[in-house]
Amino acid sequence: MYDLVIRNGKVVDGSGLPAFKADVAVMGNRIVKIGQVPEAAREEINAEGKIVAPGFIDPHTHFDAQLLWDGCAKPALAHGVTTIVPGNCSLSLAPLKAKHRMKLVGMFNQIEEMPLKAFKEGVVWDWETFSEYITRIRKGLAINVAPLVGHSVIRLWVMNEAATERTATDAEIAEMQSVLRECLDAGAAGLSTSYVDMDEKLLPVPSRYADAREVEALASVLGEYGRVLQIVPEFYDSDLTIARLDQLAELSLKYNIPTTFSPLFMNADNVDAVNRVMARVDEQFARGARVWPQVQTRPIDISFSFSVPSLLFMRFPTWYKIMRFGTPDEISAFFSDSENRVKLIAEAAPLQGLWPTLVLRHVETDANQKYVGKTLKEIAELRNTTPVEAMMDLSVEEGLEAHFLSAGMGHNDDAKVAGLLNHPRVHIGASDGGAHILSFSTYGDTGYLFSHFVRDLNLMTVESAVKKITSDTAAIWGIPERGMLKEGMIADIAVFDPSTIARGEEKFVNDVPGDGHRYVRDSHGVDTVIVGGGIAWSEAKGYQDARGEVLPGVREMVAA
Amino acid sequence: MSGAVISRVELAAAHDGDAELNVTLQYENGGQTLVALDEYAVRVLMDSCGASTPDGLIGQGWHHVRDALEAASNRFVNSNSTQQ
Repeated sequence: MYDLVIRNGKVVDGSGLPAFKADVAVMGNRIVKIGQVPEAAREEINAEGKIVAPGFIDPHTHFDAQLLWDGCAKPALAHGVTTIVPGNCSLSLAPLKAKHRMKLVGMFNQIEEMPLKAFKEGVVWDWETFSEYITRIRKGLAINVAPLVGHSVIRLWVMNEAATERTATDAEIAEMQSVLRECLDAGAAGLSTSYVDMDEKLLPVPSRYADAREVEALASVLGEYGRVLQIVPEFYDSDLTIARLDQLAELSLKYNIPTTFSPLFMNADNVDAVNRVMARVDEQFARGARVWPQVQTRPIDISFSFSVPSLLFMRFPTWYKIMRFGTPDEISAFFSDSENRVKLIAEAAPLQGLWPTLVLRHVETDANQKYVGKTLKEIAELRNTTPVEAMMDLSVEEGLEAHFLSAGMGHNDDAKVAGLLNHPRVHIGASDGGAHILSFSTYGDTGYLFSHFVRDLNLMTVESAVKKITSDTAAIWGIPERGMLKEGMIADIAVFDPSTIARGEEKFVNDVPGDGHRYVRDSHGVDTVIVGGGIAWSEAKGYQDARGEVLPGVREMVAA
Repeated sequence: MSGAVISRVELAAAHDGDAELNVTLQYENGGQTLVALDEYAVRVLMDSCGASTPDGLIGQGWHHVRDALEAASNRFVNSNSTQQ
């Protein structure tokens, strides 16, 4: 008798080959049979009409803190994600000396928008080393975690305050190499570094003070283990991005390591720039380097309130001027003045196409809560006014704390984005799961991939989409025994309905320690998620087994 | 000053959900590159160029963009040193 059999589903095994009808049997934590399975099982799942795929792997997240109070990394697991990579962008929560805790909390708050109160009320600081942190998060882990160690925290550990003052000495670099080895031995999947991020004082993060020899010395240690180097390049400048890409390629070739950089966006006005970056990626792969650009599936939304100047209005001088230079009281008074309103309304006339999609996402007062989630066009109809006047009125009523969202303003050219997502040398990722929690939802990118690019637009096959976020990711990151449905592989499995899978509506919830809030999206169309052979989440019963592991143990693979 | 000039400006959505301005610089040999500027840098750039609208930036020299980026970066250094 098997432990679990998934019957009657269509297997998309992660190889990219066509789907086929089969049952999948699991014993313990492994897949033991794919085909016709007449034998009974202790637990059975009827997957008729559904796809049975390997669990999805999300290679760019910041769940480092959330994993301390939530071993499911909710709601990522419910979206079918069975493995996450936290610790990106030079930031991890270990190794970390007690005296540096508040500095790191400040950096997480500044860069990833993780509230200070969540750390204060949700975290028991009982670790310093990477090994101790891993031990800490292993308790109750329901999702697999392949954690990166952050360059900034290694630097802080070795150099203390000097980490944000100068380049490192030879002795300090040697010590950083030793610390990195300890982290890799303890289970780190690789190293992350950043060339753009700012710390809690709005100064460059420690990793940005490193010179090339320090980065190379750390890359050489990654080479000993065959593990990954992740970087955030100067993505606001295409020439600098290409220069970093070349630097990564040299490290990849010299130390035989995979490298990845993110983000890479495709906007209407930067097509040439992205094409140049991708041309260089192709050239470097042709040389034998591994420099994987990470591209996200979801479009980028712009959110704004009139309490902070936004370039969204810069083509409208009167709007931008009062937004830029006015105090909150002056802005409210300006919006309330009838003569000014005539001028503002006339100037905003070119924005007519925006109103049906501009959504009110947050207000402070109870009176206006009923409008949250509605478009300005809908709100205007309810209030018997025009959309632009509704926006001004709500802003005044809310003391300028009415927050609006303009959806799909960037990374929104579907054909071109799909071209990137389908590109054989593009790594689908960059979700940022667990970060920016008060600005937008970073969950459900996999659901969006299937609903938008596969089902609605037919720009990808379901087989290629599954391959991209399972076996490709496992291969890039050196995660063994996962990412495919094959006999003998670990049973990380996502069962979903291809006709309904979606990322769900964005909503504001109150589930962060310290009475904190965040934006999330519930999964839609995902039936069951299996981690290590156990049902970790199902639509019927919610969160269940906790069999997550810390991955990947690549060292053994290299040694073998 | 000779060299690259701003040939195109476009509003774009930044990684963190803010709006940003993508500025294309065209070199004398026809080559192009793209630089994304945040709100602070754009304000410095527009002041520096005497522009009241984004289109007023077209044709301006690359050094204005360099100086705007530098000012945007230094604003944090200056605010910290002031606080101390």
